[in-house]
Amino acid sequence: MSILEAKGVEYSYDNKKKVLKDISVEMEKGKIYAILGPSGCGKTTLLSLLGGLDSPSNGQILYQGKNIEKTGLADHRKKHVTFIFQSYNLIDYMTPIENVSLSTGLPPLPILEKLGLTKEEAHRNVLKLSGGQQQRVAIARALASEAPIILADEPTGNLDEDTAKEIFAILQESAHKSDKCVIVVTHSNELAKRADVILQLKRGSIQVLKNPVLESKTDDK
Amino acid sequence: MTFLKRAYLHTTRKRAKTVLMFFILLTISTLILICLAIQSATNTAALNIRKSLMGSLTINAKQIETQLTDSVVNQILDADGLTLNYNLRSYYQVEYRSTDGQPFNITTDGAMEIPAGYEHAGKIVGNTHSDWDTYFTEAGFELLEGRHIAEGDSNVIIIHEDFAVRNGLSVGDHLVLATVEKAIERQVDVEIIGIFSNTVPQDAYGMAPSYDLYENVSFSDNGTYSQLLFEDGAGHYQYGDFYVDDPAELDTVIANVKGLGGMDWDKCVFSKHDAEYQNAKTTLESLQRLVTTIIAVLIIVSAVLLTLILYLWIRNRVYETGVLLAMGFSKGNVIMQHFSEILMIAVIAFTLSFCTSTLMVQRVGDNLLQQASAKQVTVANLTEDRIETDTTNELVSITSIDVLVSPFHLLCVYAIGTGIILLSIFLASYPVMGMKPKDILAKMS
Repeated sequence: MSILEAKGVEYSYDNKKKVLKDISVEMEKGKIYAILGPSGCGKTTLLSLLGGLDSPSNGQILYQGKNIEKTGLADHRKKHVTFIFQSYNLIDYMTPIENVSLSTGLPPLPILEKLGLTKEEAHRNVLKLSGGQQQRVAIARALASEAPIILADEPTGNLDEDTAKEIFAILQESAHKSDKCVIVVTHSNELAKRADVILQLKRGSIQVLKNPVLESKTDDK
Repeated sequence: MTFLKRAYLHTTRKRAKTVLMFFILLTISTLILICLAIQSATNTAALNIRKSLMGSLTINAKQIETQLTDSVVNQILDADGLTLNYNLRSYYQVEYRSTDGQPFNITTDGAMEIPAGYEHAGKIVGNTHSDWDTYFTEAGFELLEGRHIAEGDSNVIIIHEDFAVRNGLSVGDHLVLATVEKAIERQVDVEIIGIFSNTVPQDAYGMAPSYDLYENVSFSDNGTYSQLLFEDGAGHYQYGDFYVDDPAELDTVIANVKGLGGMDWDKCVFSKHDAEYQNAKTTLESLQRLVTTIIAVLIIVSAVLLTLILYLWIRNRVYETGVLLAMGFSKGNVIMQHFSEILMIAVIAFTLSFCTSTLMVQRVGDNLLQQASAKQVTVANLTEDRIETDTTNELVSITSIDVLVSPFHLLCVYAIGTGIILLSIFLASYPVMGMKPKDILAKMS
């Protein structure tokens, strides 16, 4: 059963040109989804609608079959989803531990240590960490929240190739081992290929592609 | 994490902002506290002045044949708003004689004229209390020997030192007062109970008739006046000075008196004597207006200043706001964080302002008072024939007020300050909080 569903979703800015046209897609727990597409095709807009940051012009976003607009967007953001942003969006006057503590849930230090931060780094001001470390803190914050859905908007956009792969691997692990539904917006075809499902956005329409590599691996088994 | 914890972290970690806000709030609260303390002090001073500066009304009943009588005076004293202090006065000319009928000598040097028949005459001021007479209170007369005329005295007199020396008179001696008009021919034997002198030279020297010269003036009881001028000899008075409880209520008291029966009040002339109170009131009202204006301006300027600063700060924190909203914190929760941050600083600043304002308040109060002080005072000078109004350079004004900062003022500052902060936070947050979370996040990127 899908945990999150876009049903006939359309979106236009100021009722002019439609950025998203009749988008329908279902997402499940335990899978990582990559939203792929050229700049300005509506990737981030779709992610915002799925995360309850905005409302579609037409159609519905359903969480476990219920329209999130009816149950409350703020409630959806608080309980069901957690965000990871390209620019990390950590709160600059807090330490990594305090940033992670913003999300209710698990104790922060073990999560940070699991993501490769030392205890000393966990108590440092976030601005004194490297870009990769900051993104790890942002991911830790997302993981610490008990929300079943992680929405990541180009989380590796500011990182070098190796760190990007590491971060993506962490997200994959979150989906496969922690049974989260991870939705990642990315420009990178290479990273997208590692996702379980690729959602290709083109001129406002979506095409759902199952990962051929993973599919074949599944078939081999 | 609660908004209070986030607020605490922001306040303790963003020290430069915290220190800046602390000094802004300390300045605002100190100024407001000072103004509130001065306002309270002026209110208290105004109340004290109303109690201490005696206002009075004078009834001039010369035009009425019977003048003021004892029964009318008793009726007046029963009117609301009057104290039991009063002075009844009458002015008349008499001839001074010895007990064996020989006329006494008067001073004539400096007189404009010596009217025929007045060669041995002087002016007598009938009084209930001679020490309350304006000659003594304002014209510089001073008792040298003996005592003043008091209520209940009968057939007594106090005379000028010069007149006493000229005629070899002293306290305890008797003299005779006789009517100048020969047609009436009444005389009263009086005892000298006091001798006075003038410490200030006569203003109208060279302009006054002989009987009006200070040296020829004397003070007697009202009974003596009545015996000389009225056939029945009962109490008759030309003027009545009645003192009121509260000078601010003088008009009401006059209306109350005019409402009493038994007299044709339309023929009487009523005068108010509250120049000291009016002068002090003017000073205090100016100060009160000044302080109220300063408080209003302070509150408005503080609110505008705080709103501008907070608007800039909150706009710079749109990033943080977006993150918190994306994490499911409500807008109200984020606003409460901003409010708590400022309130945490404010509690310390407001409390400390009690000390800073206490150090400065007296000096600021004195400076403001100086600005608000009155110029010249009008003092009523009562003379025989009319009530003159002289403008003197004597200042009867408030020269200082005791200003104290009290815990109540501090409570007011907490209330006003919290109001200003709430308003400023609301106004400053409105543009950002009015946006959708997605728009805030779009701004961030």
